[in-house]
Amino acid sequence: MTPARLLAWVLFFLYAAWATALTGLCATGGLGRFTPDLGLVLLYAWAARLPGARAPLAALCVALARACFSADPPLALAAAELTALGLFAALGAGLEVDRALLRAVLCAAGAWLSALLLVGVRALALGAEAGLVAAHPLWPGALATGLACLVLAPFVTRLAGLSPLAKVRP
Amino acid sequence: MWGGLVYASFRPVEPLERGLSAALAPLRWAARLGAPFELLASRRVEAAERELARLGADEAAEGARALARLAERALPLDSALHAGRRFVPAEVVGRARKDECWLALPALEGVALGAPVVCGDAYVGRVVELRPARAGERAHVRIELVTGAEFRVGAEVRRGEERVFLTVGGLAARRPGEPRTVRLAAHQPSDPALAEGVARVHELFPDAQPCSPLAEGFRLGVLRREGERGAAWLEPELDYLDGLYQVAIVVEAQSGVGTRSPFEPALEDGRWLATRASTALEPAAWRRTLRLPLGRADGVAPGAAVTGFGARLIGRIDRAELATSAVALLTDPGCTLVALALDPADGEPHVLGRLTSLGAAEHGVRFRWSVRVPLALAGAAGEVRARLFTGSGEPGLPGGLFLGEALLPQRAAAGEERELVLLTSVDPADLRTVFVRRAPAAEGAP
Repeated sequence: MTPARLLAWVLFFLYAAWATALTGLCATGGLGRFTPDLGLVLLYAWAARLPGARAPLAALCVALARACFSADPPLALAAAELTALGLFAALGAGLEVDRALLRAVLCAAGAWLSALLLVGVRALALGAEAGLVAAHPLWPGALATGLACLVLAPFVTRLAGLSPLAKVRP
Repeated sequence: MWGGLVYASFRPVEPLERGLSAALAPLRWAARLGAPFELLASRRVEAAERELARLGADEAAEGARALARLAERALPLDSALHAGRRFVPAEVVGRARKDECWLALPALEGVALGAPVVCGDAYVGRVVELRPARAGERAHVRIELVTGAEFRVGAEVRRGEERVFLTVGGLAARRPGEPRTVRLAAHQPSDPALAEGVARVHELFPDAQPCSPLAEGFRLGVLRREGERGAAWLEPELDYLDGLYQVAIVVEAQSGVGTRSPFEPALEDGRWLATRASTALEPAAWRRTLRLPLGRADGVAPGAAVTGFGARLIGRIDRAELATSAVALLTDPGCTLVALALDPADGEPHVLGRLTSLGAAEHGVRFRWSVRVPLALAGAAGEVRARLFTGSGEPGLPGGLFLGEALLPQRAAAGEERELVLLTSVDPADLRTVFVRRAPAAEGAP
């Protein structure tokens, strides 16, 4: 790995951490269930540009950043991000997923799927009290994430220092 | 890999979790990356911490008074029950199993296997294991509760001059559609037509169990029967699962045991770790948590109490990793605790039992309250604004920590499910300087 790409990964983690912190600020600051998952927006904005195994690595990077702030188990966070990325990759094989609207729709679906997984893990941990989180509606967060992806993705792809991640050696 | 991760998420593998938590220990510093966003809340945090510092001493004193009163009430009121007996106050500190509790007491002097355990005039169970005090720690005893499936104690119900004998122990089965109340099973009454009356402990063969004469006369509950042919059961006076905080062990009068208080004021026992939350920016909208830069290596365990300044409980440890931990705040749905309420009319503490958080409300927290024993507050009818404190009986959660104020009904019947709104003067999410209860190895699983 070249120093430039290593630095790009460090910056990607930093952006993912800030995106998660901003998500947390929105969640506790009044947006509530309409809080967009900005870490996922970062992942979806870059996923189509990353060659080879870099996209799953980016998903793990976002999961790791989220683990700094979240009470959910790191394994569940990794599974949730990879689930969302899996949806993107599965449909990316047949569709032009780098188009803004389609990417936003996919991002909303990915946010819903990953939240569903995390709610499921939490519900299992609560046992008899599972209903307390299982009843939480996930669609407002998914909708907000889709909209955030539509609006923010063009800016996110221009974040400073990340371009070496998309480059492939000749 | 994805399948494996999903599987491990739903069925955590302990060694894998431990290895991962060690590998991710450096994340305790990475959480500081959110510091610029935390700055936005700094004024709110300062105000909340100032408010708690102002109220802390009074709340702590009030909690200690409530526990002391509860301990006094663990001794029998009925003077006849004092004859030939002495009582050793003990605090419930954990569960060995659902029908077994660990009690902590200053010393074991005079406490024997089989000794009855009571709460006021009500019978609780008997001692089945003794653990002497170790350096710097209290002695512990394990007791089996009368709710245990294998537990049996002789009883009698008096109808005027007539006495009906029966055996009590275990729980009576509840049929579908019946209220969610706890019923003690009544076995083989000497008069099958027995339909009501107060059941008290009475062993026909006192030598069958060690110390059983000491249990004579303590109440087990009110006997009920549905229809002429239905099975009889007892309505207990105690919430055996979530409402046992302070009890007394009955010993021989000549044993020379002093009635020493079981208390070690929890706030002054040096088992608190002061820290500052790494972050309160939980990204999941359905959760309210804090992350702390303390973990298992520092003695933090799941379930441990987390307080702000003074005696204000703000949450409990949800997950403890090697170097970090996550706190489920009171506003986090599913956060659960045992509580008592102080009646504003006469200052008497009343056991509420288990409260489970349903999430944040305006100026407070919504809690689900499953009423297991009837509540009757003094004073005028209607709702009463009472101050709530933690009970004890769960590892890491000491009694007497202040929770907030709630409107309680003056009367609540066993089996009811109610929703309480706990009003708190500060939002738990606005606190950063916190204190974590470090559970000693002896507490919870002596």
